[in-house]
Amino acid sequence: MKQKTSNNYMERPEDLLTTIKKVQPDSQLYTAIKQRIKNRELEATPWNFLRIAAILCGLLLCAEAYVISSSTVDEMTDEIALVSVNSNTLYDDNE
Amino acid sequence: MYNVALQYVQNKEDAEEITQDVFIKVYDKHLEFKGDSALKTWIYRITINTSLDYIKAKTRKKRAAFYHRDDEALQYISDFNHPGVALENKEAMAALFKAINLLPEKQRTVLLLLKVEGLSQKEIAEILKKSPKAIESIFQRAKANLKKIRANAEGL
Repeated sequence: MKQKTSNNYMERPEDLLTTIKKVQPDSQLYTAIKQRIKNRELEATPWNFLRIAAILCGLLLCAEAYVISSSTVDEMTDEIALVSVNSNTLYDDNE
Repeated sequence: MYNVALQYVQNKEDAEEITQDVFIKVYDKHLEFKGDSALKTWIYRITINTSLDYIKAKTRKKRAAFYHRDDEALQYISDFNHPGVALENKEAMAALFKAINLLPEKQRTVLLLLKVEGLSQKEIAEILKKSPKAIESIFQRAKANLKKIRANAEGL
């Protein structure tokens, strides 16, 4: 009988796989997993805090850029006004 | 999870390590799980991918250890130690798994899920994102290749 079974497995080796039994892992494995998850929580990057910090930095940069650009426009307007006054003086018909 | 990993690595210690990695991945990615497939299917997929990655990393380590003649590392690389195999089948099963490990990844996965895990072709099709017909075809190829590998090993 045993010989017959063995011959069967020779012909259809994949059937031997069906004899494998399910096993339970050691309880220590669950303890190790719990510990790894705990360590991971401690090591986790505080993404929420980083996101808020990034948004604040972005807002500050925008505000600074706005202040710089608005003051540059004012200066440019003044310069244009000056040049136009000078040019009028240069081409004054009365001279 | 543990049993699926065990079929891939046929080693208690390695299967435990893979199970730990799978748990961590599930913990990390649980928010990404959209529910498009069953939770069981999703976990199976993670376990299979983690097992295959583990084997690849281990093979690389093994090659490096041989190359550098690192005896300590070689000693660490463990042999066939499957707790689910009956003692009287141990030798035959070790030879069978030696052949199974030479099969392409997809064929190996289908064979193990079908024959050891006892999943249906439909369930495997969902896990591997293929049609049940494709799974049947992969299984037939796996059987044929397994026969060839074993015949070559026995010098027939």
